[in-house]
Amino acid sequence: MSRFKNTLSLFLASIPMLVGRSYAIAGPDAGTTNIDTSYDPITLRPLNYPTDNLFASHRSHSSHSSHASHSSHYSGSSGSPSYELPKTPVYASPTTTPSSTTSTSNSSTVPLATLREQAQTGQGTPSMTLSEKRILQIMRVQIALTRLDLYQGRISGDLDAPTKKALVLFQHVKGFSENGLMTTETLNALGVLAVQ
Amino acid sequence: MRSLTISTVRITQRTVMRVTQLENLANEWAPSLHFLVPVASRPKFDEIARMTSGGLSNITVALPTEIKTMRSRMGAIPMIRLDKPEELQPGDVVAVNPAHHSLQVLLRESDTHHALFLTNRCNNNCMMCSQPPTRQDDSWLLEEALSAIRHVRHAPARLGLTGGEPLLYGEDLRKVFDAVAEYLPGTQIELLTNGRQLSDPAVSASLLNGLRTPISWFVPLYGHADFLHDFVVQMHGAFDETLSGLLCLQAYRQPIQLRVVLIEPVLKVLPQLCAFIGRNFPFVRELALMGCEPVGFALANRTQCEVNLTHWASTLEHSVHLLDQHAIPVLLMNIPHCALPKALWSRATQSISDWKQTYAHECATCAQKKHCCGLFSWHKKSWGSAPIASIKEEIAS
Repeated sequence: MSRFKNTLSLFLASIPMLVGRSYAIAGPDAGTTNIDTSYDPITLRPLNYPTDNLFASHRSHSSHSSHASHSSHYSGSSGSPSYELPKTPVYASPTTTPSSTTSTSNSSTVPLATLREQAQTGQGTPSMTLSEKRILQIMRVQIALTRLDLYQGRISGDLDAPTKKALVLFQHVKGFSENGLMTTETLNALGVLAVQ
Repeated sequence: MRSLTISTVRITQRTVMRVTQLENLANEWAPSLHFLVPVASRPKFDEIARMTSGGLSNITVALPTEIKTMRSRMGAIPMIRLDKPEELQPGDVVAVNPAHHSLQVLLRESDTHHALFLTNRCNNNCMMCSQPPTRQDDSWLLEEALSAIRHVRHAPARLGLTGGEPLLYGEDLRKVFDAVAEYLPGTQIELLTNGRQLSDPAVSASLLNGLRTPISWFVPLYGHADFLHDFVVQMHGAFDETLSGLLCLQAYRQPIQLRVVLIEPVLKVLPQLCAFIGRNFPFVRELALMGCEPVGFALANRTQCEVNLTHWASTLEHSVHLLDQHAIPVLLMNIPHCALPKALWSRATQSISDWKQTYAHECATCAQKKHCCGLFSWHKKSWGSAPIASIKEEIAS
C-alpha cells in the first residue's frame, strides 16, 4: 500500500472519526529578540594586555589594594550593575618575587572574573571558576612549552618546579626577566592567549 | 553535508572534534573538547606525541594517506588518515565515524549557512518532503548536536536547526537552545519546524519560558482550510495543531517565518491561503514562497509536485499583491529568475545554501545571474521550477 493518499478525495475519505481539536494557548511575554548585528572594529593590539592576564603573578597578590578600589567602584552603581575597566593596568607585570605563602581565594577578583567570563566565547568552557581558569592557563602554557620541547613533564595544570624551570628557560632564551611566572610578556612571546 | 572517506586508528566510537592547526592548539585547547590536528611531517607528529605522553588524551592526528604510519615511541596516538587533509579547514567541527570509515563536516566557519541536523523522525509526511522521515530512534543526533555546539570556535550569526521535526524532542530541545545561549552568545537560531508540538502547553512552556537566545521559527503552512493543509502534509489534524502552535509562538512574541512550498495543490489555493494568512496571522515576520526541491518524496509524487511556475505567474503575482495589502513581507526562495514574472524578481532571494548551489550553462550569459538564487546542484537529475532560460534584460534592483 502506498505511503501517500495522493488525491484530495481519497485523503478526505481516510479521515478518522475523531480528530482532536487543539486549542490556542496564551503565554506570557517572552523577552525581546533584538539582535545586535554591529561588529567590533578590528584594532591592532598585543595578544594579551596586562589587564587580560589574571594569573601574571601566581602566589603574589601585591595588587590587593587596587582590587579593593574596584569593589567600591563596582558597588557604587544603583540599579543595573555597570563596571568600567580601570584605565591603568591592575595586574602589572610582577616586580615582586613569589612569596612563600600559598594563595588563598580572593573575593575581590570575582567581579572582574565574571565580567571577563561574559566576553568569552568559542573556548568550549564558558562557565569556569577562577581556579579552573588558572589550571587551564597553566595547561596551555605547558602545551606551548611541550611543543618547543622545553618541557617534558605531564600537562597537569600545576605550576610545579619543572614547569617553572621550563618557563625560566624560555624567558632566558627571550631575554626576559627569569622569574618562572606566566607574565603577560611571556604569554605573548609563547603565543598563548590569557584565559579569561 | 560534506563527507570524506577516512581510515581510523585507535578511535572506537563516533566522536565530534574541532579541526585545529598545531600552531593554535595551545590557545584553543580545553579539557572538555576533542581536537583533530592535521600533521604532515615527522617533527610535527613528534610535537603531538610529546603532548600525548604528557597526558593529553583529547587530540587526534589527521595524516595524509601517502605518508606511512608514523610509529610513536612515546604512546598510542589516535589517528585518522585521509587522501586530502587540506579538505579540512581550521575551525571545522567534524564527526569522525570509525564504523563507516567516514568523516562528516558538521559546521564550517567559511560557510554562509550553518545548520545542525537534529532528527530524521517527523510527525508529518509531506508529499514533497526533501528529507523523507524514518521511524528509528535517532536521539543520539541531539547529543551530537550539543557536542558540536560546544566545539564551535567562533559563534556564527545564525545557526539553523533542522530535521525531521526537531520539536519531537519536546522539552529536551531546550538543551540545544540553552547550549547555544551558553556557548554561542550572539548566535540567532533558525528552527525549521511544523510547530505542532507547541499546541501542548507543557511543551511550549518548557521550551519558550525565559529563552536566553533569539530564535526565528520557520513554519510551513499549505492551506487555508484543515483538509487542504492536512492533505499536503498527509496527516489528519496537523492543520489545527500547527495553527495552535503559531498562536502560541505569537503569545510568546517569537518571530515567525511562514513557509509555503509551491506544489500544485498549494498553487491552486495560493491566493486564498495568502488572504487567510493576511487576515489571521498579520503578526508573522514574513512569508516565504518556495520552489519545490525535486528530491525525496517529491520524486514519488511527481504529478502533484512537478509544476512549471511560468504557468502560474498570474497566481503568484496576485498572491504577492494580497500579501502586500496586508503588509506582510514576501520572500521568494529557491526559484530562479527565469521561472518568475519580472515584477517579482526583486522579491527573489539567493536562498540556496552555497554547498548545494549551482548554475546551468544557460546561466553563463544571463543578465540576472548575479541576482539569482541559481539551481540546486541536483537539478540535472530531475525537473526544475521552469525550463532554464537566459535572461537578456538587465533590471535595476
